[in-house]
Amino acid sequence: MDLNAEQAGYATSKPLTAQRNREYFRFHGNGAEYFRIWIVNFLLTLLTLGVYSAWAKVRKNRYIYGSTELAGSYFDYLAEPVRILRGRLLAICLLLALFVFQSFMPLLNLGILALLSLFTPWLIVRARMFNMRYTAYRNVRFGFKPAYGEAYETLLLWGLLSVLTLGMAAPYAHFRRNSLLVNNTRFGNLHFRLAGVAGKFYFAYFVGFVMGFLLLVPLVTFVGQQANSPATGADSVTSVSLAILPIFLAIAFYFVAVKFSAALLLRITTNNTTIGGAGDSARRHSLGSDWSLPVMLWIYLSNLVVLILSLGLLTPWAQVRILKYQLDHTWVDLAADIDEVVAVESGPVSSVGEEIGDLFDIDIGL
Amino acid sequence: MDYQWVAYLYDGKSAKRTRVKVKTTVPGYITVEGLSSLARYKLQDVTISERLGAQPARVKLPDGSQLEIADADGFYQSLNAAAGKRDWLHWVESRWSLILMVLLVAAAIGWAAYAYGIPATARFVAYSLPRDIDRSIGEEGLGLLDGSVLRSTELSQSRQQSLRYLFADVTGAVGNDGDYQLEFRRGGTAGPNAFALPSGIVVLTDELVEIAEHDDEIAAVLAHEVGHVRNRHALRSLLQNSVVAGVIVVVTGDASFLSGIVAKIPSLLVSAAYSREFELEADSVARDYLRAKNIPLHRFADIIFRLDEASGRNPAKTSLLSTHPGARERAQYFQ
Repeated sequence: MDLNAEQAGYATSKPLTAQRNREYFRFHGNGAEYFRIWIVNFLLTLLTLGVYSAWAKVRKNRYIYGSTELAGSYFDYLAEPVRILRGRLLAICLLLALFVFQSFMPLLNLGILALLSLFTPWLIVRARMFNMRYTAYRNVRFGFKPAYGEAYETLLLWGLLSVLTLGMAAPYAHFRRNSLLVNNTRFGNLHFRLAGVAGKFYFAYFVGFVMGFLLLVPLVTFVGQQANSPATGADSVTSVSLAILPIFLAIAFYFVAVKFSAALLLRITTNNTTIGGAGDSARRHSLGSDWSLPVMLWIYLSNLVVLILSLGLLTPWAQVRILKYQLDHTWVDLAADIDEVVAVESGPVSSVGEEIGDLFDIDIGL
Repeated sequence: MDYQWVAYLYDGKSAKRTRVKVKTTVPGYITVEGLSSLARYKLQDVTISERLGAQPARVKLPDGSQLEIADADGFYQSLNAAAGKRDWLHWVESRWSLILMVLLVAAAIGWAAYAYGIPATARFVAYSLPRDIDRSIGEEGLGLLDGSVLRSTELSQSRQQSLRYLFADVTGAVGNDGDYQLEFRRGGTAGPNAFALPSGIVVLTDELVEIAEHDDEIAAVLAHEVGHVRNRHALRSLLQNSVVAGVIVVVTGDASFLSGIVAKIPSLLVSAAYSREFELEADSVARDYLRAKNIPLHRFADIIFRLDEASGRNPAKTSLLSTHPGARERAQYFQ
């Protein structure tokens, strides 16, 4: 980063008045640079039989956070590797115990799954607490309130209700989940807040549903025709493409319908989130984004192709690409000076929740 | 070389930032200018973030405040030049030639782990665990299959009896001291088939008995299944596939935003490759049996070709995803 560009940056950061001031996030990460860090991380993790993975995670997150700029200042990831290693070891012990348990008593499997889902709300809260506690901007940490009761109500009760109503309550449950994650987050003494937009969540689900349906009908018809056509004997090319087709179908369906509505939901969530100004709407900052859904879809699909062709080697490049697009199209409308944000003291948080969530592939984010 | 940089100072109590100048002109010290008073810190009293890409440098001062220096390259260079040291990780990470070497070494290690390390470790662990584990893995398997695919056998009592004698002959020749048990079922959608549960139960479908043209063919298939049990393939593949899944979680953990499907592809490919190796290992047990009993080796090749034909598989083809090698590949060991 050269000095001139930085000074130009300083020049624009004039003292803020009550008047709204739009600041865009900027992602300065670079695919080639991140690839080099990623591959060194990978080798060291291999050589140390996985122990280095905790240090690798810190280096990786420091790169991503530290590449994210808002109004001339950069985000920071503060977790210590040893803390992550401790959580990771505990999570692995748990996984091994489950594995042994499961092989001895396969029938208990279902019981364990049920038990694990009882733990999920706790896990999600703990993971979020960990991630927020060790994220900082301008040397002020983020935080997450340990709202276990709300988490259990939201994730278990509403999760169950959306199953019982055959999915009719699913968009509302999703809205509640995002509210849980947003509303308990704070930056210093500023609290995040997601407005009541459950209706828009229904709209996003509807869009995803319609897209999936429009996509499935012609594809299913096509496969049906192929399957019914008289067998051509030794034509192995046809049989191979027929065998692979359902996989491609599933991928296409997943990406177009699921990712499209996920991107839409994330945009809805971002655009309806405000920060601070609980008693004074004139001092309420608001988040906004204008990423285009077709572009997002294109990035997802082309990333997928690149990842498959490169056997996963271009993962860092793909990740930087999507982050750059999303962050460069996200902004904060500042209603007051950020300088006024006051840091809030909070004790250390263990990484167990985050690491168990990672290992068991529990979706923790928005 | 530069000795002064523009920086932001954050006090750690609020999000306030102050523009300051950081100087490293005095060796062993960092000087901060631009505050009400000039502040100078010994290097050993401050914590400087590790150099990472083009990330801003962060200096944590003893009072909890922090400096953020966006032009980090020059700052780190001047500090390192003064101290005569090098950031090893950053040094490697910023050179493509070294990255290429890292890539090659990682690929070599990955391949060695896949081809030797993981199978050898799984074999060692599997053989040091008590046999009860195999039994509990397989215990409910037959019940599940009976409830779904398999139907009761239609073979006559006398035919069943003669096949049981044949099975006893096979386990006597190539089995170890475990308990073996032969079960007969009508295969239904599973067709002509035979499979072994880790507990030592070998299931033979009526269709396979019908398709066989010689009892030696059935004996060879049974010996293959006993080979799976004896070499503890179920437990070993469970162990190997778990390790592979673990490695993939560590490697693609970064890409969780789209890994769902992508991460499953390599683990599918690897577990299919491992499975094909186990098939060849079980085939070698069948070969041992045929040799020990002076039965012509082609009996085994004959029946696997017929099985491929019955299920419409191409005997010449082994795809990346198939769990069994093609019949032609397997048959070359039985000539």
